[in-house]
Amino acid sequence: MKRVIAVFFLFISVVQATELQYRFGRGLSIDNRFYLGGYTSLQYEYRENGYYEYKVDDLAVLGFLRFNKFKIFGELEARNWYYKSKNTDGEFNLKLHTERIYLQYDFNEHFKIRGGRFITPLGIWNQVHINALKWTTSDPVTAVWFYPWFSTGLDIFGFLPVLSENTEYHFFIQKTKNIDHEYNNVKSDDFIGFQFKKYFDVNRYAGFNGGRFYDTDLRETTTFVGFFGYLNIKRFYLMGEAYLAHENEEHHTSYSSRIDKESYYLQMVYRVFSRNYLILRNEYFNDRSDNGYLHVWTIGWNYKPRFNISLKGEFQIFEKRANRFLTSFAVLF
Amino acid sequence: MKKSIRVLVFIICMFFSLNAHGEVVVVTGKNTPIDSISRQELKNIYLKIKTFVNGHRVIPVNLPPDSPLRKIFQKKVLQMDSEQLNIYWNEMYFHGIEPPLVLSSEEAVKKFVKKVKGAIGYIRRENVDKDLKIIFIIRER
Repeated sequence: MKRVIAVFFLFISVVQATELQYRFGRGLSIDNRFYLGGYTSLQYEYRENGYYEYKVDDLAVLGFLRFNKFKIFGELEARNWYYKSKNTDGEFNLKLHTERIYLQYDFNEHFKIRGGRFITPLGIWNQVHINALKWTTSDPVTAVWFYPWFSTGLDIFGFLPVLSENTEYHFFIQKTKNIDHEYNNVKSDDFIGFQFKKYFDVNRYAGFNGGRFYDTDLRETTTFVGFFGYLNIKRFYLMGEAYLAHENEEHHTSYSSRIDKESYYLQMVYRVFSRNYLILRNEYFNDRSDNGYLHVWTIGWNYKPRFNISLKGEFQIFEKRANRFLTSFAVLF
Repeated sequence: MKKSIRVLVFIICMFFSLNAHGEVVVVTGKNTPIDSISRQELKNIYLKIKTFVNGHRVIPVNLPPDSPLRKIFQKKVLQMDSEQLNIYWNEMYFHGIEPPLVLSSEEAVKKFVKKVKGAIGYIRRENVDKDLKIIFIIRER
């Protein structure tokens, strides 16, 4: 109890000595150095075969401290905080897990390094995978089934010092268990990858990437390559990603050129009128080794009554599965 | 004939003086090793895509959202409207990148860029003094 009181008084004295500011959607900032915020979302899904589910999808707290060239970043999250489906009773999950925790040092524009658990720095969708940032409630399969969302290791990145000063690179490596296995789509202890992203403008970029990881659950090594592009002109957004992957059931066996998985998505977003966006997406996935196939059209609407709040609704038309309707509410705080 | 030339010269002078009056300039302190910058570089800096210029860390500062100068800067340099910027900064916030620091007035911007090495900001041209360097000129027209 004494400790709690001491920490409380320490906090009060720090707060009094500093500039404290809270802005809904941009979090609490202390001295423009430390930021504390978070996000949450509610989601409902109904499929044409009668299945339904609703959930408090995520509840997360994130904080970061910037000091000159250093940055410390942390994020804790409880996913499926409340979950209820047609087949299950309502369940609460109040366990917080480490989504991200890393230390970053920027030597200069060409050489920055981060170590810890971070979002795998590949593609477009994976960088903004939370409900509050995505254009749709659903994720395209392309962004789910090709590489682990999170990596625990080292990432070296920056803008190329030669050839093209507007090309950003990433080289990352993981040779250890994840800091936290929860909320990662793939459990891996061996992951290596790269990405090159050429900015034609902040709103226009394209790039390619690749990597290899070992799935410790499936005991399978996957090698993948991908391409992506993003374009935003005024009210119009166009983005897409495509991936090819080869799978080996044994770790580090020799690579053959066989393509086991392929996928793409192409998404168009148009601001029909202020704060209201129409979304149209086409996605395709084919897994020859597991006979998986998916072809989906998604049409959706995203209403942003405030910059940090998103109300979404969408209908997904599947080629070989029951169509579904999704709606969600998400907020950054 | 002489009178008409005088009138013409007067009109030209008025045009240029009005134009100069309407100019917004990007400035930095004398201790910051940046002499000029391109519009694209400026955009990258204000959107925090890039944080270094010539090997030195840069600290962009903004005026409040309702400031007419900020609106000009947003339109001419960032070339993005408020909704585009909100979407952009939501994504950056998620990655631990905060928007540029907001200062309350041009006077505050001047004081800040003079004091902090690497700081850049925008003010009206007529408010530039001898301790500031102009590194980019934004023409309103």
